Amino acid sequence: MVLRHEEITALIKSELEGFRKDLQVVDVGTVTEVGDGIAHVYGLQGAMAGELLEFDTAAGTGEKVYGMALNLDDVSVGAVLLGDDRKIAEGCLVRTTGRIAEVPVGEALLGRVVDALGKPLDGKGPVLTKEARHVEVKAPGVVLRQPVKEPLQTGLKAIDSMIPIGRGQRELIIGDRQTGKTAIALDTIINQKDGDVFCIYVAIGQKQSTIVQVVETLKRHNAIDRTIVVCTTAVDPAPLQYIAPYAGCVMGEYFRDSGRHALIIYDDLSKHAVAYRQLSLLLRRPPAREAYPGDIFNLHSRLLERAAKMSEAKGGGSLTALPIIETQAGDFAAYIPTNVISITDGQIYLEPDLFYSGVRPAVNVGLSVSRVGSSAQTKAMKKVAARLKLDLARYFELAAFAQFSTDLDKATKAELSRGERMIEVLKQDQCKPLELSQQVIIIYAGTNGYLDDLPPGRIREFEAQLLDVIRSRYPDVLSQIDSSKDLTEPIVERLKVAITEFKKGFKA
Amino acid sequence: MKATRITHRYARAIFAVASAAGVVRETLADLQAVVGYRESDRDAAQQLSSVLLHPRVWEAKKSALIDGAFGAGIGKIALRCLHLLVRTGRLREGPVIVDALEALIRESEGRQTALVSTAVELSDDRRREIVGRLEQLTGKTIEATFSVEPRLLGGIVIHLGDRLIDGSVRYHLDTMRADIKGLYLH
Repeated sequence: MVLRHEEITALIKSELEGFRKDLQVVDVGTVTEVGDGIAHVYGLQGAMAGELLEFDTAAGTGEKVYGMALNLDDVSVGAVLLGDDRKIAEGCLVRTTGRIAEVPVGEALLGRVVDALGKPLDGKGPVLTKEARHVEVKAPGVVLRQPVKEPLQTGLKAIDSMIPIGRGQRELIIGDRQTGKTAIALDTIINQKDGDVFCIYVAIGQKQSTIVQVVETLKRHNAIDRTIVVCTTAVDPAPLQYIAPYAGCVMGEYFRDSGRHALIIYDDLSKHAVAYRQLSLLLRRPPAREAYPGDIFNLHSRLLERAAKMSEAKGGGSLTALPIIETQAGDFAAYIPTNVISITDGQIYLEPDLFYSGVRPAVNVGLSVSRVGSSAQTKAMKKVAARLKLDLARYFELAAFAQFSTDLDKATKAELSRGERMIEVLKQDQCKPLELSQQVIIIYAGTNGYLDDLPPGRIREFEAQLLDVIRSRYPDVLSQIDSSKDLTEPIVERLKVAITEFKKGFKA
Repeated sequence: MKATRITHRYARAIFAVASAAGVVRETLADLQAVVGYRESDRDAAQQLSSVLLHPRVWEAKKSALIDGAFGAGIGKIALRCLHLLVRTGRLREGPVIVDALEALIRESEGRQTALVSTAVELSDDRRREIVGRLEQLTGKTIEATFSVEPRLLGGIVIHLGDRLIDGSVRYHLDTMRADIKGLYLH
């Protein structure tokens, strides 16, 4: 951005001319205790819950630190600090501002990395947005919504076929550390790069190195231009980590409320809960289970409720949320995981055992569900994948059983070999999302027995080559599936011909 | 010193008891004398408080000390107050409780403190004018303290209890700076 001197002068001039000499009349208090991102303030009788407070700093440079009033006691106020607590000392003056925390929203944020207050962190200059919105707003009511019905393509075969996600849905990604949770989220973002969905990635308490990796991955796949990265690292004070998801959410709501579609990823809400626990305990709120405060459920519900599919009268926009939860040693019955499972419309459960045995994405088919289900699936996908989930679940059961017996009847053997091949089909490399048509074709080949006579080890090779051949020799099949989102009889016929022909060459 | 809920609770209790007995002002004066005693006569105060605040000195001994030091000089309620603070181990919060009590009394009598800061010394006429306007504004008797703060550059800043009325040039300059920078929050 280049600003000319005259422009700056003109700006300052207009600012000076429009300057009114108002008196500032505010409630004030003094800091009685400060530390760990928390301040207790004596006085401030007029402060409102959630109001932004302005703290004078001890150095006397006129620099201000902002905070948020969370506890309103009879003679004092407990506040969280959104800046550096070391600049504030006991006895510093605190003023009410009459505002609540806001962040900038708008298209100018796309392609940027910002902190929880919307300040740029990527060194690309100021974020010039026209609008700022309140971080904490109420979720849209029932009247303003409509059922989730359009699919949000993740580009992952395992998810789009068996656990379809709709626009406006909240689907939890849950699993132990290092099972590919962030990878699924990133693949989904990358898959939106040519579509109409804007993405927001909120990093909460992440390692700085991980965030750099995420941003680099998005850049490498040209997905950053449609993405906002809201970033709080592990070293940021807990209050910033606490408001980061709300800040990201309001940036997404900007798109939702203007009739467009947005996808938001909260990576991850376990760390968010921990940050909130920290500041709740420091504010001396009573601890409950696992020392989390009593309102931890509400904390996550009021965040995730803001994901919605708006009614046509409201523009029909949507905000889809993919919260991430990290479990400890597979314990998804712990407090925070069960909370978020019950808030969301389904979960994708990632399992370390599957991950290490090479099934990636390591989706546990039995434990993963999407409560919106097939109403958010295209016809084409419904036709090829209708029975896939049940079949695979049965395969896992049979496979466990078959370990004990050598003598299996023919039907069981067939089912086992089909299952083994379908698992191969559903494997997918990282950062390589597939378009709907390509997913449909390979799943069609699998569920209709075209792969049964191939050794499982060669299936991924088969898939790659088959898709190459179809792209070059039968592009009409791809384009027809992608445009009609359906698998009509004529297309199926063409597809059968294509697969049979290719298979002849492949086997030889 | 911290002003917690507890100190206010003590202050309210003392206020209630003292006003029932009709000796509010006397009790406050007594307690202020005890607190002031410690400030005016440094050495004696330090010795006394080091004993009174010492965790290994028994309560009985502390109470006896208090009786000996203040028993004759202060009223019954104030004395009982001190004993109560010894018993509950809140002697350390004593000065804050006295401050809170003073604030309560002031409020009940319709008085209000005001701290008026200006960049230059004000004439007596101006001071009276300001106090008059503030009394009009609040409907209370104003006990004003005036201070000179060159940092303000001009205008006036009034602390009225928990309210701050800021009409200083410094404040206008600060807001103007923030506006021009177009800064958001920070």
